[in-house]
Formats: sequence, C-alpha cells, structure tokens
Amino acid sequence: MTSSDPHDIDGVWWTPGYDRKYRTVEGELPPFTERGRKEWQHNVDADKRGEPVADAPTGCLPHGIPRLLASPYPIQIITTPGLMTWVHEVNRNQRFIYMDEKQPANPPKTYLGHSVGHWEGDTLVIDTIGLNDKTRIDEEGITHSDQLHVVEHIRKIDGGKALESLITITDPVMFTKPWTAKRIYKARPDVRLMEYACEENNRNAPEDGVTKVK
Amino acid sequence: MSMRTRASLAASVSAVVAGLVAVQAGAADDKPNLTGVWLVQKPQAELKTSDGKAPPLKPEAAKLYAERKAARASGKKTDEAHTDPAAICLPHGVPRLLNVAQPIMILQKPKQVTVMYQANHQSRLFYIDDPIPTADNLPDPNYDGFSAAKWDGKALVVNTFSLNGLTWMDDSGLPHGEKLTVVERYELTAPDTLSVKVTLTDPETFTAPWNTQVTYKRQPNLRFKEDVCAEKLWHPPSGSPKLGG
Repeated sequence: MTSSDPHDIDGVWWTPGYDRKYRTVEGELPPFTERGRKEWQHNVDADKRGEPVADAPTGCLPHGIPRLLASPYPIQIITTPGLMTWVHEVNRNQRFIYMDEKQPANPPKTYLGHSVGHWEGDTLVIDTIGLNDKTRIDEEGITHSDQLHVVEHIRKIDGGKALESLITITDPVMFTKPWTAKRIYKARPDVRLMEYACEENNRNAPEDGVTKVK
Repeated sequence: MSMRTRASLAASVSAVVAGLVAVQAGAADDKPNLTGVWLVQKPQAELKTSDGKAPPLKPEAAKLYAERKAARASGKKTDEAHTDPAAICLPHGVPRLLNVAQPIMILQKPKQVTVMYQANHQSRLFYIDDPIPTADNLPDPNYDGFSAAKWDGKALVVNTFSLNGLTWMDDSGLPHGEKLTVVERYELTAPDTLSVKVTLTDPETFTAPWNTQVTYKRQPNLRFKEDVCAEKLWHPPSGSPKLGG
C-alpha cells in the first residue's frame, strides 16, 4: 500500500521498461554544443560499429547522475531525520540526499556527486553537483563534463502509485542551455531489492576501452 | 457467505489490524534508536571468539585457513581458493562486513532495518518479523545471504542464512561453507555504543557454534565518502572522449 502523504515517498520504486537514451521531455536531442554533439556522435558511431565505448558502469563503477536515474532496476527510498537514502539495486549504487542543507562550495568530484534536497509544496527538489566526468548522461552516449549540475523535481502522480521525475541537466561544456528529461517510477510494494554483485564474472568487462558482450 | 457477513468480517479484521498497528506503533517507541553513522572499534583482522580464542575449526578448515594466511603473508598471486575475494571487489559477505574499518549507517524503520556500508557501497536489508525459512525452503545462496530480523526487548536480532560460501569470514581467510548461519544481536550498551554479539554456526567448518563480539561507536559528525573498489580493477577514462572542437 502506498502512503497518501505526498511527502512520504518511502518504499520500492521501479521504472517500467528501459529507455537507454535521454531526450528532452519533447523527445528531442539535447541542445548540444559543438563538442557535445561530436562526442555523442562518436559514441553512437562506435555502437553502430559493434565496438561500444566502455563507460563506468560496464567496469562495475557507479553509474553517475543522471544515468543511474534511468536504470531498469528497483530503488528503495528510505527517509530518516535530515536524510533521504536511495538504495539502488543496480551495482549497489547508494545515494544520500541531505535535506534542507545548502550545497558546499567545492565538494570533491565523485561518481554520484553531492546531493541536497528540499520540498517545494508537494514536489521534492534534489540538487546534485560535484560529479566527475567519468560517467555519461545515458547509455547511448551523451557525454558530460565535471561542470554538470542536475536538478530533479519529483512528485507523486497517479494517486501515489507512481513518481514523476523531471530531470534538468545543465552543463555549459556540452549543452548550450539547460534541458529537461523525464522518468516515471512505479510503486512496487511487492518487490524487494536483490543482491547485485557486478564484480562476479563481469560478462561486460571492458577490454581496451570497448564493452564486450560475452 | 452473505455480503453482510463478509462486510462485518472485514470490519472486525480491520479493527484487529488497527489494534495491531497501534500495539506495534507503541512498541516501536520503546526501541532504542540505532539510526545514524557508526564506526567499528578495534576491527578484527583475525576473527576470535568473545573470550579471545581461535575459532573451533575442523582440521580441513584449519588447514585452508593456515594456507590462506601463508599466501597472504607471501603477497604472491595464487589460485581462487586462496585469493582474497574482497581484493577483487567482491562483497565482503557476513560476518566479515562487520569488521571492515569504514563507517556504516543504520536506517531504522518499523518494518525494516537497513545497514549501509561505506566500503564498496554495500548494504544489507533486514526485514522485521520475516519468517526464517526451513532447511528445505532456503532461498538461493548469495554473498550477504538473506536476513530476517526481530526485536527481542531492546535488542535487534538478525538471522542470516543462505550465504554462498565464497566469502572469507575475516581479512585473513577464515573459511566457511554454505551451511553457515549468522545470528547478530545488536544492543546499545551506552547511548553511543553499539555492541553486536555474533553467533556463528557451520557444522561443516566448526566443531561447535561459537560467539564473537563487535563494538561500534556513534559518529554524529561523520558522513559517508564514496568508496569505489572497482577503480582498483579498471580506472575508467573520462566519459567525455575529448575529440576537440
């Protein structure tokens, strides 16, 4: 059963299906800079040649934000005083969102960055900075720099049976202006997270920078 | 059954449920609050019993333990049975995870207690009042097993089973098999001291069940840092190929 309290989003959520590409809410490619478009095309071409460029998650590293938010694995959200913890089944990614705090001036660059959150009415706003440039925006191949800034606007929809997340992506190196993508997560009270051990016989382990399928 | 009977049955069931919820909510207030960041005190690289003795290993397991210790001391590459699984970033498993010298964070909720481990971004989910499966009904084994928890007064008791036997019980290579069961009893012995009594049973490895002890101190000002073991195996280049232009 899901809670009727709009601010209570504790529980298991799971995005239905899998969309490996990030596009704008209108379904368009992001507003690339010349560099952003070149790098995306490079990755798409490598895929077409059957030599996909290995990115962090293929080597069992964290997915990065926002790539993690598209992952087709369940997420458990757990709220405790001052903190929201997102336990992602995929590769055990763990996300900590410090509530009602300001972002630090210069957080260290990490795979999942530094996240703070607050409620605006019935919308949870999560702000993430401090992301390194080792991950990609999506699996298809949109790239980002370490100037990436991600803001999620999350609210309950469908009578609390789903969450809608509007994900706004700002990175002056790769995009000419901020753009927004969308993901939906369904409430899955019937699901429990399972163990995920990517490191065990990783069949996609990168070889010479190329993702292999074994 | 008539609709009316059905409706009145439903009403009485919800009254009972409401009563149970009230009891549980009241009980929850009596529980100690374990939520927060904790750090292990004097982590044991070689697991000892609560009174400081060597674990009661059967001869074959004792031989393997000695070989692993020797392999570790030599620093040479060896076969899988003697290679530290955590060194290739596999999950530490239970009970080894309890002695990893990195912060842990407990998230306590009425129906579930979750322990987040900074080390290699691991976590364990304990479901309160889950039934413990019988021997013929066990889930498939994995690194951290399956954990059912219950409150015994002010102690949180966690039963873990279905462990896969691939992990070491300590940094030195203490072995175990798939029949290992672990019972952890989490108790606050002071407001900021968490004591865990661990009972280990594995008839294939040990001559008798035995206990060990782990102590944690609350760390109100400590926050998790990202710990990414897999970087040791493959250091990814930038996700941006930097083609120029």
